[in-house]
Amino acid sequence: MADEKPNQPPPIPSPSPVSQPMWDAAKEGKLVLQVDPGSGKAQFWPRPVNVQTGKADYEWREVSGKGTLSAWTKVHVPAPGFADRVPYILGSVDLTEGGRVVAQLVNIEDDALTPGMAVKVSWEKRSEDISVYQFEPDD
Amino acid sequence: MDNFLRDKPVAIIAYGEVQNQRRSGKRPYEFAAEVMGQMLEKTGLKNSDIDGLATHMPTAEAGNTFYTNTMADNLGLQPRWTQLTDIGGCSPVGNITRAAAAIVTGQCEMALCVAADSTGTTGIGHRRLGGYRQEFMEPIGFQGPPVAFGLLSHAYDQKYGLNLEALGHLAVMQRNGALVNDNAIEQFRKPITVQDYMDSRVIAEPIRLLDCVMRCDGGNGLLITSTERAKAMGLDNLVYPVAYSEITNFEPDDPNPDVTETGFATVGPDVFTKAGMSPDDIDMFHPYDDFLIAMMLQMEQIGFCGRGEGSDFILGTDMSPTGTLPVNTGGGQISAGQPGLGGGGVNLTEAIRQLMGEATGRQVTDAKNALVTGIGVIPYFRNWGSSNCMILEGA
Repeated sequence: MADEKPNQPPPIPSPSPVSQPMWDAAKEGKLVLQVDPGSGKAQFWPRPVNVQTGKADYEWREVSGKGTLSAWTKVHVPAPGFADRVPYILGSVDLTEGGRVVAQLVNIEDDALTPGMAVKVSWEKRSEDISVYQFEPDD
Repeated sequence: MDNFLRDKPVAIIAYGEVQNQRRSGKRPYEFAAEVMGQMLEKTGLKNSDIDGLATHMPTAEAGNTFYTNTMADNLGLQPRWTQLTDIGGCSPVGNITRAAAAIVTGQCEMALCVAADSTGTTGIGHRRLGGYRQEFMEPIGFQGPPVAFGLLSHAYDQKYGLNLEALGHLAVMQRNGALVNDNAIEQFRKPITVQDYMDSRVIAEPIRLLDCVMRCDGGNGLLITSTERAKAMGLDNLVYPVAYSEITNFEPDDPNPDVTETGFATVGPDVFTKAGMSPDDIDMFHPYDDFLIAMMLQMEQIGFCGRGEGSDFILGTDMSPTGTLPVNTGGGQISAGQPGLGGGGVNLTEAIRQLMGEATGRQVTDAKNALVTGIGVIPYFRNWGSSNCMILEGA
């Protein structure tokens, strides 16, 4: 909160060797997740191991980008880089293929939000290399 | 698991605490020196009598990869056992068990556990949190813990119904404690009402300003030794840790966890089993309080009431120092201030102070024990990262 500087742009994530495939896919408008081949459970954020096994035996799989909204909060005091968006809504999305992503909800007013509503991923281009996931209503 | 604390092999012989301050300009070392000085004065010990040192990782010194060594050098200590604990707000309570284990295994005899931070002075922007924080939280507009607790509160509201009046009641109850606590931050030593809570600035819905702790500067600590040595020193106002339970990264294999469930669902029942006690046996409750709803979730998951019954429990229980279950009698962190990642020591120090009978203006009469807790770390939109519970008994 105390670290906000006026008019700075939103942060651009720095990929790690582990997460690079996700950001490479994001640039193409695709959402990919690490999936445990045994149980089919997906995990987000990308980790150096499959948390189901503790080994690096995960598979990258493209998912639909669709999910349901489980909880949200309307943010009135912005994070650094988000001053010109307040108030903005952050939502917790349970993806259809499993895994949970928290992201900004766009193209919807907060009074139209309902628990369990269908949402789909959309992308905000932050740089030539980085597009950040957002979610919007899946009508 | 076995409970090596059950037969009271170790005792806390002294505590120290400085007043929490907004922006002191001091570093953790200065606060630690004040805290140690208070305890040497009380016990007649010299710094050369201390041969164990347990610290936590303060935000103000984040990046100092030799923190504990630097602390020893600042304090003139020559420890034979050291411990740096970095489970956030769980660290001060967790260090008691770590020091106890060192003492009973002969690694040291007299340990200083100290928690000090200057987050009010330095802010938190210089920290390198790495991993998911920088890559997946800050870029989506994660403003800070109020966002995590806003989402958690909304999930709780959907499942059980959120009663803001009950949370406001907690805010007022704790503020009353700060009014009579000389170590509470000066800015908070004025009364508030439930309406003040309701009207306070909304940060991330439904989290309001008065739901949250304010980070500040300060420090606290304790001296712990074997019970045998404490008695040989002629000390009799002792506090014993009798049971402890800790968990980190609760249920990591669930990719879509219920965010309203926390590690307290494990460590709450576990600490009672280890102590051979139940929630009804607890005389005072000193829960870690970074957010008001965290206190309510602990009441439910530790077992003072059932899931979803926290609001009714709060509204139906006198939690003042003269009530049936006194809670955070010095104001908790929300009303006394959160000295950075030393904040867990605020609740802990108050419990020890009460059990030693030194809580002037708010002393709980006939309290023989206290349950103290810690919460550490905001993970990626699960519940919090670490949870711990300790039962303390007076002499």
